[in-house]
Amino acid sequence: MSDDQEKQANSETGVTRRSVLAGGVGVATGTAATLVAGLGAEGAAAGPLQRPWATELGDPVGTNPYGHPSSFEKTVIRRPTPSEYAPKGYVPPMNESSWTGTPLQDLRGIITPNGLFYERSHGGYADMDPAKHKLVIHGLVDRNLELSMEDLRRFPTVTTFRFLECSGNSDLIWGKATYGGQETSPYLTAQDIHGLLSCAEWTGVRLSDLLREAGADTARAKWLIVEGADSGALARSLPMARALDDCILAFAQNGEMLRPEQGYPVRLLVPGCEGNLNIKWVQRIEVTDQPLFATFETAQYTDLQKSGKAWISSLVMEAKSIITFPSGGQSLPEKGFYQIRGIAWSGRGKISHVDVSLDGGRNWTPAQLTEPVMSKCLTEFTLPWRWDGSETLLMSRATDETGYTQPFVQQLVEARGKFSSYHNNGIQTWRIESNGEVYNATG
Amino acid sequence: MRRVNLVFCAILPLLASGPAVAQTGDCSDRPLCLGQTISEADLAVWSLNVFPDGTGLPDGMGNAEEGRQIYRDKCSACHGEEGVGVKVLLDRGAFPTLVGSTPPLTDTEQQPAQTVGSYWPYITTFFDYVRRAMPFATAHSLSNDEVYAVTAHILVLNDILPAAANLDRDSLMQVTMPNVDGFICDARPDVFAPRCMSNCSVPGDAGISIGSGETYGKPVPLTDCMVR
Repeated sequence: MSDDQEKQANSETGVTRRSVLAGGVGVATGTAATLVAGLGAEGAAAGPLQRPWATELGDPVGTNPYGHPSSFEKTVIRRPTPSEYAPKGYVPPMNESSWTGTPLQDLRGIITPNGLFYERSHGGYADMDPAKHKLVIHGLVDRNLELSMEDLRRFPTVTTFRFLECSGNSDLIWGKATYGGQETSPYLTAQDIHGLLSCAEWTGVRLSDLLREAGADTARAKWLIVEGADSGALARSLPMARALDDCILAFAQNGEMLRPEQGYPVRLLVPGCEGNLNIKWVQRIEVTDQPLFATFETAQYTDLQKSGKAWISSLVMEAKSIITFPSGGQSLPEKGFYQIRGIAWSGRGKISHVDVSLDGGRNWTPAQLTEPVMSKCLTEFTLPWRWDGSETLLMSRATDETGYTQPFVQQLVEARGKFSSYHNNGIQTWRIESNGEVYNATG
Repeated sequence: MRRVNLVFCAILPLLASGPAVAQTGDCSDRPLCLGQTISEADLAVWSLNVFPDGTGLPDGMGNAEEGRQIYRDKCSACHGEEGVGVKVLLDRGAFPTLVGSTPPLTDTEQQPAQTVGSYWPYITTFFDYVRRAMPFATAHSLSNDEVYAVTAHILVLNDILPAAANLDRDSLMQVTMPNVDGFICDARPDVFAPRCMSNCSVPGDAGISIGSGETYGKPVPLTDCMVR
């Protein structure tokens, strides 16, 4: 099939160039090829009025009481880290303690659809009966309180746009030293490397309102121990100062109730802070004068430094950005105009600048930030670009409103050591080869 | 230790029977009067938190020999005999070893094993975790005595307790873990990259600076750090 034929086929069948490029070559072009053959049999002269969807009725309204994406988008799904491209010792053996990543390269704007929001659980996810779920707040309070979901939903609510990112996100590109000296694969996609990142509109109750209702002794109490109702009762220590700031107990996400894999019926949201602090299925909050030193804030999710000491109490996810188009696994079909696009975010506030480099970091051009730009939320950026067909090392670099600028991964590794792979907010490099194929060039 | 709830005390005698729960509506001192008060006794049956100072440790006692049996039956399939892991699982990065290596875990060629004995700062963390989350597929199935026993066994495997040691609240609080001083506050932002726009240094250039958090001047709030 010639290039012109393929372009015509793609346009005729509704398979957009984007879905061909982004969805992976296998499925999308396969579909296109099948439909091209069909058109050939019917005659290439068939015009717009002769296509099946123009001559027959579509599916009845109400066919899908809860709708789902077009069948042409079926490759846009959450995926686990691909074991064939991951370093040895990377893939968890139990699907109950595992993760899947968001297909960042296939999404637009800043909101992650609920069905594509990344998953990370340490004991699987239950679908809990909200009528049986209780939330208890106790400890250094005037009164221990037990709330039903009905009680909780009667509190005044807030709605806020926030990203969530696992502290282990992007650890695949920390550097080859981390995982047995194996080189990082060039075949990794944005989803493979950075997919433990999503963003949503959250609705819930201010944690500070709940603390007031219980009469928390905020002079003595410096910590909250927040615990989930899942198998494993995952718990972490939350500093009181943050609890009183902008934390919410969220029960809705993007307009609907939370999904089970996001902690239905209620989860903690600690804006800008690492994923595992955002306890799902919250059942208990103990107000205390000391932190718990729980497993997932000591034995795991702590960053071992060069000195042999490890950072504890890590909370914030620092400013970061990635280009989602063009990105690993995609390809540019020809020279010419493209819009570079990507996402940026910071756990310390708003994004103020994103710069793009086309020459491996020597020179940078400011990208356009798409409104709205919100605090502790994804921000979309774009840059118009004309590709001349030469090999290109493509990077993006975020600066947030505190003045902090995203560093190179190598600078982080030099400062922290090769085994400190959490909280990697280093710059991602994509290499576009002269044939238009895009590869990971970081790590 | 906890403040006395005057409202709760005042109405408690009025409840002739049933659970010690105040009714909503009797709470003019609360902003919204949503939810019900719950007594310490009703909470105690499902409180799991165990703090480094021993707060939350339950009554009970276990022996390391009993712990060895429990471990063999309920833990060794994933964590291996003697806590050294199971090779096929270790090769996939799963269920890391519970024993081996000693602090300090300084930068070496291979990633040092971060085990209970070499990495975990407090034994209360281990007790808390086993009681809330282990065994993996059957959480909350061990009695408090069994959790003490398994904790004793793991401490014996790590040469922290002598063989056949007993463990209860008091003796557990006597245990000091080898890596108790192995943790420091998160130092981010530890790397400061200036927003250079042209002819910038890139990794591999001679003399490229990694900057520092001091340059940036906005350290992480100390209130965030878990220090004892």
